[in-house]
Amino acid sequence: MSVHRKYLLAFTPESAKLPVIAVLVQKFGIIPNIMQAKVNEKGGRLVLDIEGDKESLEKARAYIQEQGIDMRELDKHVSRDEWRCIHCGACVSICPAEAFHIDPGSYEVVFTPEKCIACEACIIACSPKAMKLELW
Amino acid sequence: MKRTYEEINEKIRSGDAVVMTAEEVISLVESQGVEKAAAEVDVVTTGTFGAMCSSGAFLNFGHSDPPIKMGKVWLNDVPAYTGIAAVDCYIGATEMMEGDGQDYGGAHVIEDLIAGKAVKMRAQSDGTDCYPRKEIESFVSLDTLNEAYMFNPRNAYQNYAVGVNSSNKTLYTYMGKLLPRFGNATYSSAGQLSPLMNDPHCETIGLGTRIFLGGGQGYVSWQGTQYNTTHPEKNGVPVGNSRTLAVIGDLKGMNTDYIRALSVHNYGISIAVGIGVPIPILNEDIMRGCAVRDEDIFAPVIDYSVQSRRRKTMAEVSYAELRSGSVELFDRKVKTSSLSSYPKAKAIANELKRWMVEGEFEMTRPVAPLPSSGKVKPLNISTREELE
Ligand code: SF4
Ligand code: SF4
Repeated sequence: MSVHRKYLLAFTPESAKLPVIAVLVQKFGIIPNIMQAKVNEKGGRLVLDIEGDKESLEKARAYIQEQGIDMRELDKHVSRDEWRCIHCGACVSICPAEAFHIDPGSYEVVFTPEKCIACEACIIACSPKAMKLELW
Repeated sequence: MKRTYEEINEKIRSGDAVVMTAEEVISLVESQGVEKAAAEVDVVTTGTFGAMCSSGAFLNFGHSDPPIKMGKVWLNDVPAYTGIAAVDCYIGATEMMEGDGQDYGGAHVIEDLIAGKAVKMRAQSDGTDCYPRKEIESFVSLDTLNEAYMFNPRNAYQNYAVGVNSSNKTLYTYMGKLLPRFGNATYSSAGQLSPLMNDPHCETIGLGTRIFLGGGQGYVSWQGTQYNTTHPEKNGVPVGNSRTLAVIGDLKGMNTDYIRALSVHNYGISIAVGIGVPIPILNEDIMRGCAVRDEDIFAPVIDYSVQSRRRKTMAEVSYAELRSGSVELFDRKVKTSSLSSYPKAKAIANELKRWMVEGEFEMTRPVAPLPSSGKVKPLNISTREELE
C-alpha cells in the first residue's frame, strides 16, 4: 500500500556526512522529495516528502534511526481560516520554511501549505488567529 | 482650479462625481500631471486597516425592573468601565477577560456584538433608594442595546516607526514577533493609501469629516491623542508617528469584515479597525498631496530591544522598500512583515469610492480644523510641589 508522509530528519555533524538520500533511493526504492535542507557546523535538518509502500518506508525508517539520525514524522499541519486572515503579512518574515509570500500584484499573502514544516511559529505570530494547528 | 464641497455633493447626487482611490490617482498624476488630474477628479478615497489599540465602544443597556445603577459590569467576563451613568458603559478594546482567557478581550466583545452574537452581561451594585437592584445577569446583543457607538481616542496614525531587534533573543512586542540580530523588520501603515499620508497637513480632514469606519459611516470627532506635528518631513510627509484622529461611529451598521479582534502574543489584545477618509480635491495642492507614492514616504527604524523611551532612529526606509519584502539595513537584507493590511486598505478605499459613485455618501465640510501644531509630552514623575 502506497502512503504519503512528511518527515523531519535531524543530523549530528557526523551523521550529516552519510549519503542518506542515495540509500533511500537505491536500497529501499523510495523517492524522497526534498522540501527543505539545511546544513551547518552543528549538523543539519532535512524535510522530506516521501511516497512509497508502507513496508519499505518502515524499513527505511529503521535504517535511518540506526545511523543515529533523528527521524520524526510531521504528523501535524497548520491551516488558514481564509476569512479570519486579513492579509497583513505578519507571518511572512517569521516562517522558516518560507511558506508565505506576498502576491506582487494584489499584495495578498499567499500560503503554500506544502512548504510548511509545522513549526507553529505563525500560529503565535498571527494576531487575528487565522492560523490553526491540526492533526492529520 | 478651485472646487467647493457643494459642487462635489451636487455631482455625487446626480451620479457624475469622479472618484478615484489614492492608489489609482498615482498613475493618473504621473501620466497627466497634477493640473489635469485635479481638474478631472472630484474626490480621492483612502483606507487603512491595522491594529488600533486606542479604541472601544459606549453601550447603553436600558433599565431593568427593578433598576440597577451598575457599579461594575462584565461582558463575556471582560470588565467594562461604568463610572458614568447607571446603565452606560465603555468597553475598551484592550481589556482582557478575567480568569484564564488570555486570548479574549474587549476587542472580541466588540467583534461579537457586530457579528450579531449574544454577549453575556453581568453587573453588580451596592444598591440605592432609586436603584435598589444589586445584581443582574442577562444576555445582550446589538439589537437589545439602546445606543452602541465606537469612540476611538486615537486611530489612523500618520506614519509609524518600523520595529527591529538587535538583541540575541526573540522579542514579542506590539510590533509583532521581532527575531534576534535584526532577523526581521515589522511596519504598520498603509503608506500611499493611508488617510493622513494623503492630506499630510490636514487641510481637508477636520472635526465632523464623515468617514468610513468599520464598514459603516462615522465621523472625525477630535484630534487623536498624542497628536504630533514635530517630526521633520520628507516629500511633504512627516517621518515618524505624527498626527492621529479620534473617531466616532455607530456599531450598528458596522461589519466584521472591517473590524477584527487581535490577540498579540505576549502583549495582549488589540483591534484592527478599518478607516477610510475621502479627500475632496478642492485645489491642485490637495491633489499633489494625494499623489504621494510609497517610494516618497519614509519611516524611522527603531530598535525595540532598547527598553527606554529614548530609543534612537537607526535608519530611514521607504514604504516601497518595506513592501518589497526586504530592506537593506546595515549592509544586510532584512525580511519585512506588515502588521496592517494593504489589501484591506485598498478594499476600504474602493468601498468608499463605490458609496460615493452610487450616491450613498456625501462629503462634509469640517466644522473646525484640526490643530495646526501638536507636541507629545513625556510623563515625568513629579511631586505636587513641582506642579502647583
Ligand atoms: S499573519 Fe495571519 S492574518 Fe496576517 S497574513 Fe498571515 S495568516 Fe493572514
Ligand atoms: S507552521 Fe507556520 S511558520 Fe511554521 S513552517 Fe508552517 S507555515 Fe511556516
